[in-house]
Amino acid sequence: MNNNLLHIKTLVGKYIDGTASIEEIAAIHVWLNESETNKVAFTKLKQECKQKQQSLANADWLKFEQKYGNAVKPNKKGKRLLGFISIAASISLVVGVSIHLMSNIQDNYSTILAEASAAEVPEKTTINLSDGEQITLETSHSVVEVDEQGKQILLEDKQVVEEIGDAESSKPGINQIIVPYGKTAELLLADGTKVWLNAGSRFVFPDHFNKQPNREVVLIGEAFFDVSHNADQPFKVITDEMVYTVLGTSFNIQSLPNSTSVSAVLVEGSLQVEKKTLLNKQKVILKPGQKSQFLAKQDRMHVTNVNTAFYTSWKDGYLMLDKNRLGKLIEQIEQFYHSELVISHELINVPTQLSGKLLLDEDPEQVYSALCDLTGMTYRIVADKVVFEKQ
Amino acid sequence: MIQEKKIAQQIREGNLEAFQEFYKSYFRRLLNYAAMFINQSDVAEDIVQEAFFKLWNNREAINEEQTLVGWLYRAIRNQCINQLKQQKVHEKFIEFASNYEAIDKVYKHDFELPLNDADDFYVWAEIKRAIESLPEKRREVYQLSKIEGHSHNEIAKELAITTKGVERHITLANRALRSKLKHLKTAIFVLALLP
Repeated sequence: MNNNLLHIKTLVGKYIDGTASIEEIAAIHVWLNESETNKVAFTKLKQECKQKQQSLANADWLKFEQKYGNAVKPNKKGKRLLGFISIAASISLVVGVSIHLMSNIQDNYSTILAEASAAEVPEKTTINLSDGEQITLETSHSVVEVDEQGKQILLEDKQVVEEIGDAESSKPGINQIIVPYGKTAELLLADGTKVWLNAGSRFVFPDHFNKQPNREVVLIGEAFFDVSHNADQPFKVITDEMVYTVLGTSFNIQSLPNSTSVSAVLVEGSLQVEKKTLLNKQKVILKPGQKSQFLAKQDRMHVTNVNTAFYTSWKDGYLMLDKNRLGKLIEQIEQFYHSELVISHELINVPTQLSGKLLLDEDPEQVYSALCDLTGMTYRIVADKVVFEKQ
Repeated sequence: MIQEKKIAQQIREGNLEAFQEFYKSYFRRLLNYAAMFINQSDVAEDIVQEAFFKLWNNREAINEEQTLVGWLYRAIRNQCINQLKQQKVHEKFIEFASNYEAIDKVYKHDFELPLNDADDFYVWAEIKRAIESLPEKRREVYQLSKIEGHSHNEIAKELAITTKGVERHITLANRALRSKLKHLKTAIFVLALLP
């Protein structure tokens, strides 16, 4: 294939994906006009370029479904309505969403991200499968596995087995898992990558990664990744503002909605952190033990050396305590339980000698009283807020 | 193509799964098209979704000679033109208008519509012609400013003229375009894009 044809193929690909610019479509026109052969070639290229972003297409259809679902019905009753089954359950996904899609059309995930970040966090851990089925899990730490072929999802110690998409298809189905506040989940993806999801997080993942140039997943919230090595197929975590490309192995990402905290901590391996906007291309590569944080005010990426254990201990069900870190600990507890903790400044600023582990119980009150035992405070709940006071 | 015909047949028969597949494969392409007309992404998206919805509701009535996506394309184009008449036109619009024929031909070729479609929107060609008829320097300034979106300062530097000179060219270009285009029926919106 010569360069020109390669270039045209790229253009046709963009055209099919709906990301071609005016100029690029005009260029396709010039090429089409060159010869009849080119017109035949166009049809062929179209077949080859068939939409790559299945996740985006699924999100598009979901939105259509939400809008017209009640009015769009098949002719015969009793036919399986693919995707419509979950209508009641997935409605929360699109309520109140405003999507600035075209402002950044290259960003194929903006729809998923916008929808997911606007949605309510459910009470129970919830999985939305690509075929529209919705499953809720009762446990406080849920374990979910996708098998190697991407054909089945195993839930909770293989108690439930669900058939999912077609592994041969180059378009994997897209699943979503939502973890409520106060709970965590553990996920094994088809490529062997392990993902721990922290409380209040959403994670979008395909049935399998076959025939895709990258292994791409979408995260809103906080997660710890242990990525299985595959140099030919980079693993990418897409969040609201950043794209994390894994060059090595395990790391923690925090990308909380409505928060200024966009950070990643690398435990081992190598991680590329890239700011997503077109105008502002900022990129850093983290070394083990480093933390990247995007400082929105200064519009720049900040890298520091940290003790990674403080950022990753939640995956093992506890928070690590350290001297003088009461303020940080309070933030972590607030995020985990989605609660508001009120502690007077003088208490926060008093150097404390906290150290050890604080277990993250499903019941937040257990954690509050443990904190009181450690610090010699008492707590009471006043109008949805947890107020800590000196004894 | 055989595959497409099969899907079209299934959609006509009311097969929702086939419709879903069809929706997924064409939505982005058509949204891109509508977004070239309409600068507000939510409005463009509404238009495309609405067209798909109409297609589903009218699936049995649509002429079999026509591809379904061709039908959609026409519906979306007409709706975009209607929408344009009601609102201010965005900056990029002139670029789109200048390339309208080329873009239209690509989509028509893709969707198997006749290239000499009678309901062509003549305004594009008129705008293009009007811009082309400007004196060379003025056209250059106008295109750099309105189509490529450069600032007056940038243009002044690029063309080695003063900022005042740039502003004068743009004022005169606007005046000339306004008078050249005022005969158009859709002048309401064409004029809206000439501040």
